[in-house]
Amino acid sequence: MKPFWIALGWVLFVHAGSVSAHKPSSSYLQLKVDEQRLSGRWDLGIEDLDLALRLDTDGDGILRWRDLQTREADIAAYALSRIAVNRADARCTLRAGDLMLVDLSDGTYASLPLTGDCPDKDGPLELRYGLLFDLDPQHRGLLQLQRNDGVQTGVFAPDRRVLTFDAGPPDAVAAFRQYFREGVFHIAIGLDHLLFLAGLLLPAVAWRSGRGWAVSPDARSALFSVAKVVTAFTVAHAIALTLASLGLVRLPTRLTESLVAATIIFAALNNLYPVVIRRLWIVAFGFGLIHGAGYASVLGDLGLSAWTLFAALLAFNLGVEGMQIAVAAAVVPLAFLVRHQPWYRWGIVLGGSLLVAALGSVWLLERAFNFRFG
Amino acid sequence: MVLMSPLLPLSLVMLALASTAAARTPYRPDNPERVVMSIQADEQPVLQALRRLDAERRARPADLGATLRYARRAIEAGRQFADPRFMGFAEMALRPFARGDVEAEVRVLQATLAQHRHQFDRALAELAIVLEAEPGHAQARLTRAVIHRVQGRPRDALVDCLALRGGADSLTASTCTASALMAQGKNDDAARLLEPVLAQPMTTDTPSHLWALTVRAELAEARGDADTDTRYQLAIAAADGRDPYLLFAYADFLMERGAWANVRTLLLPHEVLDGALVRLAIAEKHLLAGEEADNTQLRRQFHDRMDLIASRHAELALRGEAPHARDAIRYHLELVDNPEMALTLARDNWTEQREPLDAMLLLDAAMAADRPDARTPVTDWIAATGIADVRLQHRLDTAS
Repeated sequence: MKPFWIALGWVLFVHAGSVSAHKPSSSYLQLKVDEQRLSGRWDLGIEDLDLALRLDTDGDGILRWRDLQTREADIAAYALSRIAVNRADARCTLRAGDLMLVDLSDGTYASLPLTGDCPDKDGPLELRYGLLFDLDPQHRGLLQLQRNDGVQTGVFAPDRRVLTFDAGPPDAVAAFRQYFREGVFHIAIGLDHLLFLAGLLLPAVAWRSGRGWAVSPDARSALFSVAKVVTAFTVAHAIALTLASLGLVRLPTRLTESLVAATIIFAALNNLYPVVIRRLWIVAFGFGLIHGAGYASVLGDLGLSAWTLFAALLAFNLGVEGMQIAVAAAVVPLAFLVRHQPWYRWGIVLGGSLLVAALGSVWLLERAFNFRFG
Repeated sequence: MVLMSPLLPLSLVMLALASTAAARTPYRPDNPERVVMSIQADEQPVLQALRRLDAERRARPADLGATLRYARRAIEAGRQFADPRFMGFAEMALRPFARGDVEAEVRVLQATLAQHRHQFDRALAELAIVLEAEPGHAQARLTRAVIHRVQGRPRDALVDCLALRGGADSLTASTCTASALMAQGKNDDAARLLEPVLAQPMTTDTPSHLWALTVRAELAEARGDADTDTRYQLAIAAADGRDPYLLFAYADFLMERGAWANVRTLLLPHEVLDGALVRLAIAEKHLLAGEEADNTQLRRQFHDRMDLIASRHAELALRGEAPHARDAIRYHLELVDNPEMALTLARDNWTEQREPLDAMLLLDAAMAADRPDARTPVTDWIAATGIADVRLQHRLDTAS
């Protein structure tokens, strides 16, 4: 489910056509419930309105905007007579605003703005719909309902004229806990994320320098450089995730997934032939942006209200940072202890980096060119 | 080095921000003359006739005859414009007469509507009741014969077609029989049966004649005759725009031959129809991969079309419905390169429909998904029915 203004798979492209699309008849009802206030809009097929109200009086098959304007009151009356909203068994009032047009992917629809009030701000919500069912049994009413705890969809049909939605008070603490957990798991089960982390962390204590190895002088500076990298990554991750979840940024999945794979390769190869050592945190920041954008759909899909979304994002990123620090705290001291060991340097750092680079390459090819190996 | 700087990912983010799709916002037009609905020219007279019949029906709600006239015209309009709404209107009109003691004529129309929705079992049930009471009911017999043939039971189809002979409409009976014989591979017998029908002048019985021309074209295609193209064009000329499904059949013939530009020419005037959408997209995809690779306008049209198909699919999903099976198979097989999905859909489709086109789609999907074993149901069916179609043979030959 996507945020309110990016309708769930409804319209992917704007067509300004007005020719009939010869597709089954649907209307699109978007309702937003905010405490006692109702708001939204109802997009209605013009052919459907013509069928119900005989708008095309001269029968020439052409309707113009002025034809709709002259019958505006009838259109609003018809629409309002075919819909009812009840809350806790009490009727909510609904009013129609001025009629407008909207260009959807398969043509121009009439768009009726809706406002209303319910006597109660709690209680189950019941919607009744009956547009066009007496004339066209194939007609469907596609509903998108937005409330505090997210967006829900439904379909009205001749044999399903009533849809009920139970109200649940949004539990901020539970949401926080849930998304913190999501953030932790995001790192824990995101193999590519973990590999990237490993790629960045492994050389924190011992890295290639010229023809030999340089070592971190003490545990504190090792941990400090690790913390810088991890924090830079998380901050960037948070920024990108926030922008993308709010729908302000939308990158194609194929691009972000391929870029994530590319960053993994880079991190791994950087261990073998160090190009970036001292400013690794800047690289981590850039990569964090990419990783964040790549996972944005996870939260964006949940369609939460702005406040809940912010809390969720905060919790999610704290979970991410927490998990990363936990991993770093576990791995880096151990690595520090064995930093002089050849098997650590050649085996784990270099061998591991080669493995990571190889895996990253496989993913890059798969994601960029839609291959499938094995 | 560019890769080092965080500017690269940042600039990507900026780019994406700039290119976010605008929300679909409602507006009030300035121009009162702005057209908001425009019915196609050829639909106009039909709609007016339908309105007249509807008015008559409403004036006399107890008059079954008036309702039947309206419902039949609505069904005809639904076929002519490939518009499912008309079928809905017919269904609504018949509803008051669909309870209790249902008249045979109402049942037959309901069976026709069910057949159109691919609810074949429901249709067969209704027709069985009608034919039990009235074995001589030609329309019911014919409808059932067509369903049998579509579902790949040519022997049952033949039985029903033969029962039609000796009735009033010998031309329809002959065409029905020829069609059933074709499904059993008796192509030459079918051709012989159609000769006298086609020799009749057009004015004697246009719908029958048109059906005969269509079947004859299908026969030519199944035999791989050189005059297939001519025969299809003859049928289309006779149909005079009243049969989009005939256009689709001809388009399939052209697609089989790789005549992509011709497909476009044929279907562009009908591009709003779902069946045309998918076929046009496939043709455009091939053209863009070949001689029209530099045609930016065509590329844009292709992308628009793909978006429209995707949005139609999305809306159908929202409605809880599935897209037209054959179109969906082609979409996944040829447009979005998902042969596994195409194969799943093709196998589902095969349980409902078994015409040569359905067999072709299953064979193509099976090979594309690298599952030659999945072709067995089709090869068994070919062996059982004896159907002889060069398109099927070609696919089986090239694969082995």
